[in-house]
Amino acid sequence: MHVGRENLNDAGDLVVEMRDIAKRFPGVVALDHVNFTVRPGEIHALVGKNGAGKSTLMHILTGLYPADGGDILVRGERIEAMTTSRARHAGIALVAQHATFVPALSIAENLATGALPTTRSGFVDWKRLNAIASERMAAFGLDIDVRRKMENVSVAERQMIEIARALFADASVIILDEPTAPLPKHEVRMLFEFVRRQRERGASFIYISHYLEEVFALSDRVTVLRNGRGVGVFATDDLTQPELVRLISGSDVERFRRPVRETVGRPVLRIAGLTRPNVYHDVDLTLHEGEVVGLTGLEGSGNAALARGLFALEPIGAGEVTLDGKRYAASRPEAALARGVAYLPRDRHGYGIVGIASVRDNISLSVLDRLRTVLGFLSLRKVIGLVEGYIRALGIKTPSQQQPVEFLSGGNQQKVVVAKLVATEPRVLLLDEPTQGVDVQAKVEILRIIDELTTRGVAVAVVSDELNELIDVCDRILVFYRGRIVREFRKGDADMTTAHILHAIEGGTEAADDAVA
Amino acid sequence: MGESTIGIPASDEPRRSGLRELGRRLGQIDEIGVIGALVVLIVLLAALVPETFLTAQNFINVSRQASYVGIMAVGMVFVIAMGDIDLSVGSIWMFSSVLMAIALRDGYAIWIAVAVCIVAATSCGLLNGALSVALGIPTIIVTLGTLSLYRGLGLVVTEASPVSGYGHDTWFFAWIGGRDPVFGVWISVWVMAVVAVFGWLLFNRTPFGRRVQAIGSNVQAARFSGIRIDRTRLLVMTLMGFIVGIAAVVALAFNRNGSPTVGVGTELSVIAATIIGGTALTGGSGSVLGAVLGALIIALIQNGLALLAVPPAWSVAVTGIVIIVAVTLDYLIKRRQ
Repeated sequence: MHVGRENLNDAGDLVVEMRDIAKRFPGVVALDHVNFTVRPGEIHALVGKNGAGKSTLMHILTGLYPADGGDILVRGERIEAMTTSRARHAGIALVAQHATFVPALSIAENLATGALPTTRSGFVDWKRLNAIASERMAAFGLDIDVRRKMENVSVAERQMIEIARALFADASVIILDEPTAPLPKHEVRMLFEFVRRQRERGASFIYISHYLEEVFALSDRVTVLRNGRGVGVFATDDLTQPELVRLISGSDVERFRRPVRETVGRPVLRIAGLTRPNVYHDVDLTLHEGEVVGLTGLEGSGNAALARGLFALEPIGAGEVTLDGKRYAASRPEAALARGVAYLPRDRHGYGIVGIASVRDNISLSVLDRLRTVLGFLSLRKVIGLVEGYIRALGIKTPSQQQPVEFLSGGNQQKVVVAKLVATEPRVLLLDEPTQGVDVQAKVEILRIIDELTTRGVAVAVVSDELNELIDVCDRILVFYRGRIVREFRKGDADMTTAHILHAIEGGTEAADDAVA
Repeated sequence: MGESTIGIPASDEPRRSGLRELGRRLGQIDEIGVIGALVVLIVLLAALVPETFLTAQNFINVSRQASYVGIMAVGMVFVIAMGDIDLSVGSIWMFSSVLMAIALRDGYAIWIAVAVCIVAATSCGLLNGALSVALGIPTIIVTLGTLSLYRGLGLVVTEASPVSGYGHDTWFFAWIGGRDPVFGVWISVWVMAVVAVFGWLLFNRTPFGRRVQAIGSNVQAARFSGIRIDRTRLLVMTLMGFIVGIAAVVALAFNRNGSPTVGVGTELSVIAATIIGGTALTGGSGSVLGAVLGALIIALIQNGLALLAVPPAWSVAVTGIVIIVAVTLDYLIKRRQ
């Protein structure tokens, strides 16, 4: 099928062509004469670091911002002054990460968007409404109960429904902006299969993502942007992942590898026989000073729940937990922090940052009481000193301490959250998917920060399913399967490879390992 | 998706002519909207009724009328910045002040009566917070209930009639209910100034104030940062009650007798003053200075309408319009930046 697409190279066959697009914001050239094309029936990945111009380019294509220069052609026809309604008429639709549905209404009602069919007496004709909606969904291969409320529908299904809705409204180019960031692995697979099916029917997709594995798994071509310039367009099959990383960053991003450690520190957190019915069973686990331990497993295998339990966000269950030799049972997050257990939440925007507040306010938030003068007022000198120290230590890129955190890139936002946690001088640091939604370079920097933290004697647990990163940074990786720790991999051992770990994650036994190797 | 952050569309290139630069600088002051509204209002009234409006006596009176709402608005800044609201402040005012009047009528010393008033008001605030925290109900619901509860209790203890029958020729009524000998300004205005200074320091310069704003901005992030949400909410609602107690004491010193009708609808003036002053109803930030100025605006409107001989019924309606105008003005200025 690739062969079939190769001969669509002449411009007449392009469904979208953006030529010489320029856009400047005060003080920044956001796009510097960028070209971008989409062929019919292709999945075109658009990649680049945060701030490279991907979103700006898409905002221009969907008419959200006017371009300062350049042409946009849809199916060979030039569109003057793109607006959101013109983009819609031209068949360009954006499926955002957070889909635009009304959660309290049913799927069918959401699909009808204000044009509910009525009976002769003027009431809503539910039968007809549901029949139309089911039929539409079935037409796109979606077999779902349209009477369910949108709030009970999984994120992947929601995205598929939104794609189907757009396609039904005659869209031919669908922009997917980081669609997989909020999804567990098995839902990603489901979404990808759906996207591929729609491609076979002739729909085109523009796929924006930081997850390069997914770019390779899904896309036909890749356009790389760097600092507002187009680096090039490539057939995905012609690229390797390290090559793509180099194109994105403009230089070799060194892979960070934590060295093998000879000595093991004193035990900090000891868990013995910890059981929470239906979540995890008989968990035995010890975190040592200066150690990084990865906790991985399928969604719902108990690894993430254990971290949340330790931070008192969920019940922890019954069993023995000691911290520095003393019993540990925190009833609330603040009690956990007081004992020296800090937690980095998965959803940075919901739980990590106070968006409108400044870098300074965010970093100092958990330790305000330490920054007082004798009279009880905040000492600006102490606050600035503390924040400056962390901005430097963690390499946070911000114009000033007073910059609102929501205006920083994803990687820098994440570093702000880490700084806030580290400021509490924790004994145990629980990190839940710390590299989610940050660009390649920032991922490496975050791994480096994790490594440096251990020199202060912190015990770090990383909950993640990014196996490559876990292998790079962890001294040990514990695999959870159905609530039990089934395997332990140690840095330096020959079997600490993605293939072996993946095998264990899916429930494979050690004995069957040879099949993998 | 972090990159959409650079996507703030600019209307045009910033040109730095003197006037624009001045406008830009002014736009950065948090309270610019309310200061602007205040200036417009004063200029307007000075033009319409110069001989009655532009007198020292008038300003002295207006500032006293603003002072009770102004004092309470300082507490309301904390409540609203935390993302909560207190609808019971008018009733707390009434309940605590009639208790104070009853104490005086029954022959207790003035300092005991003052203590009764402050303790009663603080307890009312504490109860608001405790109910909200213990039952997990939003403060808007709790205080909607206690709005009636406190006023009802006040009507029970007064049997719905004014409380009097005590002498007014004591130092308390002469001093606290009087004017200072130097500037001739009412003492209640000075009390408002002191409350505002303490409120400003607490809100802007202490860990407590920072935490209140963090909770209002993103309560989940605040929880994950180890902030004790329940304790902070309890403290803020209690502080609100305490501040109402202060307002009740100075108001009674001026009014002399306890009235069961005092404070009806005052919660709305207090909330309006706070919002006019630039505290966002969505929480997360606030301005103590703005709230005090907001109270002044409300008093000035009522004063101006009285001077213009507008019927009192109309003055209520116009107050509403001015609130909308002031908040819109503030929003438009902030959005332009």
